[in-house]
Formats: sequence, C-alpha cells, structure tokens
Amino acid sequence: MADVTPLLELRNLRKTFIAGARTVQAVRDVSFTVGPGEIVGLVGESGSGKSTVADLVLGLERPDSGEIFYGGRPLPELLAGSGRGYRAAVQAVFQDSVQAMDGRKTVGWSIAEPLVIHKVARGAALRARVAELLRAVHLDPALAGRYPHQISGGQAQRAGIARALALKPALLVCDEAVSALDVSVQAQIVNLFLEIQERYGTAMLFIGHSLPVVRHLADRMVVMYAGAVAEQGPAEQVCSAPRHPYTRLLIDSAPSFEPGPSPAGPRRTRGEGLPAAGCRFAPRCPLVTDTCRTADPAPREVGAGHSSACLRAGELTVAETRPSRFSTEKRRPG
Amino acid sequence: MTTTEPTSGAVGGWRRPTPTELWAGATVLVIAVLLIAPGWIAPLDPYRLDVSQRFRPPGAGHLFGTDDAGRDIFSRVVYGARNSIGAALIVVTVAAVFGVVYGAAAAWSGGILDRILMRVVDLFLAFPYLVFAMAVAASLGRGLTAALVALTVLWWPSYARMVRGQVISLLRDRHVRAARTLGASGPQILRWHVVPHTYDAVLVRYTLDLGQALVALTGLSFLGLGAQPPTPEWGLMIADAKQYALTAWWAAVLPGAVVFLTALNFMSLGDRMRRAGGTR
Repeated sequence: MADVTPLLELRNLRKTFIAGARTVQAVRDVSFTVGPGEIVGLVGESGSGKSTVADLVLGLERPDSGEIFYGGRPLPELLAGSGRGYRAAVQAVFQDSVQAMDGRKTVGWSIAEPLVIHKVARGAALRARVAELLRAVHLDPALAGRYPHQISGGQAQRAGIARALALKPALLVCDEAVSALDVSVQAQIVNLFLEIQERYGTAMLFIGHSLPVVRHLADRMVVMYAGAVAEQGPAEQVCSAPRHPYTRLLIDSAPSFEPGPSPAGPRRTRGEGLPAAGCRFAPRCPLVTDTCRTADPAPREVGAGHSSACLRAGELTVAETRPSRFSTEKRRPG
Repeated sequence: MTTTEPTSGAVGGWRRPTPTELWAGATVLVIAVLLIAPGWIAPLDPYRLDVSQRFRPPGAGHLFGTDDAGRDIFSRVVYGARNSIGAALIVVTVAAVFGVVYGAAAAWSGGILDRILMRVVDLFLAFPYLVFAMAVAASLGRGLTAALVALTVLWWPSYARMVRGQVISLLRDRHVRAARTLGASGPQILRWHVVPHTYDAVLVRYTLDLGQALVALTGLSFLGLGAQPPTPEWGLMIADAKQYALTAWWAAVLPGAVVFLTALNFMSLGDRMRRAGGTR
C-alpha cells in the first residue's frame, strides 16, 4: 500500500476551539493517509479529536493550520465554488442517521437528495435509482415512503449508507457509524461496510471508539489520544502488538465475556486538565517515567508503516507487555 | 439553483384528525365561504336602503336587526367579513411571508449584514401602529388600503425576528450538517432543510396574529382611518352605530360581538396549536 498515491492525505492538522475563556486543542499535528480502496480505522475515546478530524475532512470545519489533500489537490481548492466534485467523491455516514436525515422528509426523499443536488437523475429514473440503492443496503424499497422516525435504528443506518452511496463516492467518512447500534445490528452494519468495500472498492475512514469493532474492518489503524496520533500502523500489528500504552488501554478496556476483574485503566476524569508539558498520556500511563513528564514524544517508526508516539515504544515488546492487564493500583486519587 | 425537489414517496395512510385540526378546518371552511360566496349566507343586499325598515330590532326578518338606513345588519356583517377578516388575512399573510424570508436571509448572511438587518427590524418594532397608521392615512388618503399598508409595514418584523432565531439554531442541526456534506447549496439548505422547520411556529403565530390584526383593523376603521362609508366593515359599522347606540343597541353590539368572537376563535385556536406543539 505504501507506494500508491494516497487518496486522502492529512498533513500536520491543527484545530483549536475557543469556548469562552477555555481553549481546547481538539486536533494537534495529525498526519495520516488513506489509500484508494483502503479502510483506515480511527479510534480513540470521546474527546480524543477523532470526530473533529472527520469534520475537517468533510469540510465542515477549517483547520487552523496543516493541510488536507484529496487526490493530491488541497482541500480549499477543491471546495472553492460549489465544491460539488469533492462533495460527490467524499461522502459521510453519521452516528445517528435518524438525525442526519431531515425529519420532515421521507427516507426516499433523503436518499434522492444527493442525486438531485448533483443533477444525476430525475423523475422515474430517480425513483428507480433510490429503489436500487435501498436494495443495495438490503432494505425494502417500500421504506422510501416512510419518515426517518418511523424506521428502526438499524434501518435508518442502512438508509444513511444508501444516501452516502448514491453518488458512488471514492471515500466514505464513517463517523461513529455503528457506535449507537445494538451489538447484533452493529455486526450486520459492519458486514455491510465490508461488502460495500468489496463491491465498489470504496475507501473508508472509519471512526469509532470501540477498537474491536473497528479492527474487524480496518486495514490500517490510527489511534488518537488528546488530539494527537498516539500510534498508527497495520491494523493487525496495532491490535496484536500495540506499541503505545494507550492502545493497550483501549484493547484491554473493550468489554469481554471472560470472567475476572474488569480491566479498569486509570481514567481521565472530566474537566481534568492535560499536562502542559511532556507526554499528554503521562498522567494515566502505567509505564510513565520522569522523562515522560518533560519530553514531548514525537511519532517514531517502530516497524514497517507502524509508528508510535511513546518514548518507551522501543521497550514495549509483545513478551513483556501482553500477559497482564493494567493494574488498578495506579488509579489516581479523586 | 435547482428548482426540482426530490420526489417524496407515498405518505403514510389517513389518520383521524385531532380536535385541533377539526377546529382549524371548520374555521378555514367558514371563512372561505364568507370570503368567496357571502351571498350564500346573507339573505339581503348589504347596500340596500329601506327607510321603512329603519331600526328594526333583531328578529325573524332581520336576524341582527337593521340600522338607521334600514340596511340588514346581518347581511352587512356577512359581506363585511371580506373587508375585516379578508383584510386581516392579507396583512398577516404578507407580513408572514416577507418576515420569514427576511429573517432567514438575515440568519443565513450572519455577521454585519445580519446586525444591520436586525436593527431595521427593531426600528419597525418600536413604532406605535396608531401613529404610523395616521401618518400613512395622511399620505395615502384615508381608506382600507392605507390601513392595510400601515399594518403590514409594522407587522412583518415580529416574524423576521422569530424566524431568524429559529434559523440560527437550525443551521447547527445535524441534518443541516449532513446536507452540507451532500453538496447542497445555501439556498437549497434553507429551502429544503431550514425554513420548513419554522412553519409550525409560524403557523401558530399566524393564527394568533389573525385575531390581533382583525382587532387592529376594525379599530382603525372605527377611528375613521380604515374603511369608509358605505363599505360594510365591522369596525365602521360599530362607529356608525354609536350615535344611536342607546335606542338601537343591536346595531353596535352585534357586530362588536362578531369581532370579539372571531378574534377569540383565532386566538384560542392559535393558543391550542401552540400547546399541541408540532403535529409531527
């Protein structure tokens, strides 16, 4: 995958939000690429900045600095004017498709909308295309006449996918697209995404907070913590041999049916500030050293296409770290 | 800017109308008949003078009695609906349409333009309507047209302000963000995804305002700033009847009661619609 020109490239993106007196660095120095037909998983806990990355890619927010390239061309250039070429090529699936569709319009109307905006079809051809799209996501075309609140969450998510597929995009940005669904429905939707990737060769930026779910889909994995990329690399390697303590925390905090104590890593409490200097993960890190509190770790290559922003990444080997889950003793007092 | 809209599929089946909807439907029906075909209801010509029939009290031949010129008051009330309710409809409809467009445009443009547009709204809202109506009557000449113009000019700003607030919050909604990722243009987003969501609130205000505008219009006519004789208009009828109100009470009281009940109907219907919230 390394030699192919990336479909999407994010370079040193930064975005800071100002809310009153508080400033939140939602995204700081995020760089990664998505190749044609590739599924890149973007994981991290809530507040890690992954959804802001989605908004930046979708052009809903503008970065403070850094650049986004699609097919080698910078995003501001692509969005100039109507921006419809880029809009057609990059489509989004949102967490809550019921909310993402207009509640006063039928599901069929919503799916037809992109086709009307881009003047792809009208009249009978439009209706036929909507029915075809509904069948492509395994929905009954009769659902076109329903309103979003009249269908189930899983059906709404499928309809949202049909809407995103209408323009035959090259890249789908899926922002927590399965996170709100029941586990059984989640699996069906994940499979639908895989089917779409196989059938149409659609590349995806798949954002989620559940590493096991994203792992199921992703070719490559980008792990974000506090606005920055903690670790990225081939999905298998990142999940089976993580080289960043935060990735491990994510893996271990996934719900498991095995008996035993629940794997509770030190949690970040809401409102707790991030350290001003050093590694941002240091206060929660079980492997923290004094250096970590002063030196800011830059992403370093730890394998083929695999990098980690941990000063101790070199010491983290499979044998040393895998057996135990994080101990709960390091929990910080209130 | 495309003008075609995605076609919607079949909408869900027929459902039992709610009492509010029945009430609103009945109101619309009665008003439609009054405005389109008052002759179906009114037994007599509202302009016909008959001195032999002066000051007849309400009874079999004349439901609401007759006035000083022997005209049938009930017929005049029925025909007067065109000038009273009809005028109120024009005022509020023009005000609502213009206000919605103006408010949505202000919210969409944002920044300095939005602020300028809203200062203009404040200016209009600060005007006392009676003073303004007198000024308009002075320049256009007294008549129903002057009253219509004066009220319309002062009525739209409340819609503009209400819709602007709603549009600002709607533009942050998830379905609007989603529409943006589809490549929808500004006008498309406003027309499809924002403005229709303000209709429920606009309709409530519209209904309430019909009552208010009716009272304001008949008030202007009563003061001589609206319809002029011999036009059958409710406010004017009351004004004419006040000279002999002690001998022929019905000529003032019955048209007054009609104004009161009509305004009450609009206002309580509007209030009920507001409490019912969005129908969908």
